[in-house]
Amino acid sequence: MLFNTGRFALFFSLVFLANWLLGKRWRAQNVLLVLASQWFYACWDYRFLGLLWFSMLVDYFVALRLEASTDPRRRKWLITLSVSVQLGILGLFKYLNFFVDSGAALLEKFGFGAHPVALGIVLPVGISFYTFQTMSYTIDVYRGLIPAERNLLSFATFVSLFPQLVAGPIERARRILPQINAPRRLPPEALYSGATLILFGLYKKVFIADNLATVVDQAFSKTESLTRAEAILALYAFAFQIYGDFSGYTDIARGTAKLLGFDFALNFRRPYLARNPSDFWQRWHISLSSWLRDYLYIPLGGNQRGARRTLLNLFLTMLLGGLWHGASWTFVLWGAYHGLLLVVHRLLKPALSRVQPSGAVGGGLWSVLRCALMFHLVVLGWLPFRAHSLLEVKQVLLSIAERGGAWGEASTSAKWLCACTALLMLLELAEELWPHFLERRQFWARGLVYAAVMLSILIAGAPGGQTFIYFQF
Amino acid sequence: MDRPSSTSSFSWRRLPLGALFAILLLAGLELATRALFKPPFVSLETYTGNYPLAPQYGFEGSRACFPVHEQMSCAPTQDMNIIPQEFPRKKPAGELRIIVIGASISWEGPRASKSDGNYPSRTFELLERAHPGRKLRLINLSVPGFGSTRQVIRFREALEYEPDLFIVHTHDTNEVREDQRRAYVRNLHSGVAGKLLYSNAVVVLKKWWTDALGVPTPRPSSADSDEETAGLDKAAKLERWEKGLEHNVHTMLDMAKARSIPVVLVGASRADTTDLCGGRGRALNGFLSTLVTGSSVQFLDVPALFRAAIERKRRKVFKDAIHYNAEGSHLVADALAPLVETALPQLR
Repeated sequence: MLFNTGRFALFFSLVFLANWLLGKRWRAQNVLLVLASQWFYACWDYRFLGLLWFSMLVDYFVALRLEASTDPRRRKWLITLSVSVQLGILGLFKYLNFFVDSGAALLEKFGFGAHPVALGIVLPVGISFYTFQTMSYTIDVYRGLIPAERNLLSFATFVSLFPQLVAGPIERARRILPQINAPRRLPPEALYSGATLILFGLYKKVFIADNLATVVDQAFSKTESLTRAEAILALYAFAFQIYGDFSGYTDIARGTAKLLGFDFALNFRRPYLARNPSDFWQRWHISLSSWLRDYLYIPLGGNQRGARRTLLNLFLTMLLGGLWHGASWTFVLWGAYHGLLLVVHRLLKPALSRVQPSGAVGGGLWSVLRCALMFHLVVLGWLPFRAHSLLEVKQVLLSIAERGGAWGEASTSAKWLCACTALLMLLELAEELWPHFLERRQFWARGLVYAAVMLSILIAGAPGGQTFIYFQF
Repeated sequence: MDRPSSTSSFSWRRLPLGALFAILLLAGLELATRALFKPPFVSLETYTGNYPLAPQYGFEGSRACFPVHEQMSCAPTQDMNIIPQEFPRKKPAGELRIIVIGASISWEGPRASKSDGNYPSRTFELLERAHPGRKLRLINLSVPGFGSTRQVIRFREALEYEPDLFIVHTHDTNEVREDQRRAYVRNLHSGVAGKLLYSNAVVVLKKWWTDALGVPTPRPSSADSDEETAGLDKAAKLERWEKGLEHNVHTMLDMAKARSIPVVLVGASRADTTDLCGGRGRALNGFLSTLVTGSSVQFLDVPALFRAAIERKRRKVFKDAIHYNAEGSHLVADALAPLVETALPQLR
C-alpha cells in the first residue's frame, strides 16, 4: 500500500478517524495502531509478518533480560545475541544472494567452475529499517540510556508503527516510546503542519520524483549509447528524483505521524545546500547517518583514536552505510565514494579554513562555491547508486568523458528538470537563508505557494502510484 | 488527544488561512477556465456528454464534434485530428448532404481540402463536376482509429443532421483499437486522477504544461487491449471483434433504413490483412457484400477493384499496409461516385 495511492488515503482516513475518536485513551489507540500497522504491512506481503514479529520479540525479551541482569558477561552475551539475530536476519534475506553470487564469480575468476544454487530469497519490505530500529533499542538498553519497555503492545507500536515501518525514518526508542506511552495531543497546529507535510511530500513524490523518473529510466535503459548531454542530465535528474522520492516519503510519513499525534525526527534538511561532505550527511537521511554515527562510527573508536584511525573509521562507516542500501557492488562503490569524500574533506579542512575569505561578500561567495562543488560531487555519487552494475557506471562515465553529441531530446529532459525542480529549490534556498521563511509569510503568500504545489500535483503529477525507491532497501 | 469541543474558544489565528486562500485561488481558477475556455479546450464532462458510450479525454484524441444549439461544430481538440467544420442541424433548401463515417483511410487530414486527394473529397469533386446544378455538401466525420463501436455513436449523432446519404467505411483493423481505447479510457479515468479530468482548470493547464515541455501524448497500447480481452485466446478475440463489427454495421443500417437514408459501404482495403485482426478482411468484405439491397445499401469491394487495377496496369495503390496512396484514392473515388449516383435518386 503506497502512500501516494487512493487506497492508502482511505486506509489512513479510517485510522485517523478511529484514532481521533478514541480521544485520550492512548492504550486503545496503541492497539488500533498495532492492528492497522499489521494490516498495512500484510498488504505488502503477509508472509513476512512473522519475521517482523520474530525480530521484534527477540529484542523485546533480550532488552528485558538485559535490564534485569547485572552480570557484564551475561549482558554482553545478550547484546551479542540480539545484534547477531538482527544482522542474521538482514544477512539471510538481504545479503546471502549477493555473497553467494560474488563468491561464485570470484571462484570462477580463479578457474574454479562454481554453480551457485539460485536461492530465490525475496527481500522483505522495510527489513533494513526495522532491524536497525530494534537494534538501536537494545543497544541503548545495554548502554543504560533507556529503560527496557515492559509493555509488549507499546514496543510493538514502536517497531511497527506504519508511517515509518517500510522506509523509515529510523526512529530511536528514547524519542518515540515516551510518545507512545502517554496521551497524545492533536492541537490544530499539528493538524495543519501534518497536512502541509503530506502535501509537500506528495508534491515531491508525485510531481518531482515520478516525473523525473521517466527521464532517468529512459537514460539508464541505454547507457551504452548515451550522449554527453543525456548522461549529464540523467544524473542531475536522478539527484532530484531520489531526493523527491525519499524526502517526499519521509514528509508523508512525518505528516501522517503528526496527524496520529506523534512527532517523528527530521530526516532531510535541504541536503543539496550542504557545504561539505560532513554537512551533507547531517542533512541527508539524518536518521540513518546518526544511527551509523552512534552505533558504528563511535564504537569503532570515532575520532578518539588518532587521526589515521578516525579516517579509517569514517571510511568504513560509509562503506557499510553504502552496503546497507543494497546488496550490490554499486552500493559498495557509492559508500566508498562518500567515505572518500569525508576523508578528503577531513584532510583538507585545516587548509580550507585558512583560505576562507573574510567579510560578508567574500564569505557568501565562498559558501556558494562550496555548495555548488558539494552538489556536483553528490550528483556524481548518485551514478553508482542508480546504475544496475559497475559496467553501467563505466558506460555513463565514458559517455560524459568521450561522447559528444547534440542536445537533441535532452533539451526536453532539461526543460523537465528545470520545471520540476524550480519551485522546490527556490523554497529550499529561501528556507536556508531565512529560517521558517514560508511560515512567516502572510497568508496570501503561503496560499499562493500551496496553490502552486497543489496545481503541480493535479496537472502534472505522474499517475499510477509509482513505488518509492527506498522500499527496495 | 484533544477533540474539538464546543466550549473551546474560537480564534481566527487558529484558522489555516494560507490553505483556505489556496483553495479559494484554485476555485477561482476553475471558474475562470470555465468562463474563458469553451470547447475545443474540453474536459471529460464535455466528452461524456457527447459520447456517453465512449467518454474520453482529449489528450488521446476523441476528436469530438460538439452539438451547439442547432449546429454541429467539429473542432480540433488537443489532438488536432478532426477536420474543423461547422454545419447546421437543418440543411439549407436544395442541399444534398453526404456524410462520411469512417476512420483513417477516409480521413482527410486536419484540414478539409479537396486537393488532398483522399477518396471522399475526390468523389465529391467528381460528383460536383457531373452535377453542376446540384447543391452538394460533403461532411466527413471520419476519425483515425475509430472502430465500428464509435462509428455507431457518430452515425447516430449524424442522423440528426438530415443526411441524404451515408458513406460508411468500416474495416477490421480498427476493431482491436476499440478494445485498446476502451481499456485505456477506463484506466485513464480510474481513481483520483480520472476524476480530476472533470476540472476545466486541470485540463487546460495540463495542456499548457504538456505543450510547454513537449510531453509525448499518451497512446493506448496493445497491452490495454489485452487487458480488455483478458482470458480470451486469439480465436475468441477475433470472434468477438467480428461479431461486434457485424452487430454495429447492422445497427447503422437499421437506423438508416428507419429513415430511408441510402448507405454505401466501403470495406477492408485488403482481403489478406495480416495484422492484429488476423486477416479478417476477406470475411468482412464477404459479410458486407451480403448486406447489399438494391440501391439503398451498396457495397464497394475495394480489394476486387485494386486487384483489377494492379493486374491490368501494375500500379501501386497503397502507401502502407492498408492506407491508399493518391492513385488508390482516385481509383476508389472513380468507383464510388457511380454508386453514390445510383443510391441518390436526386442524382440519377
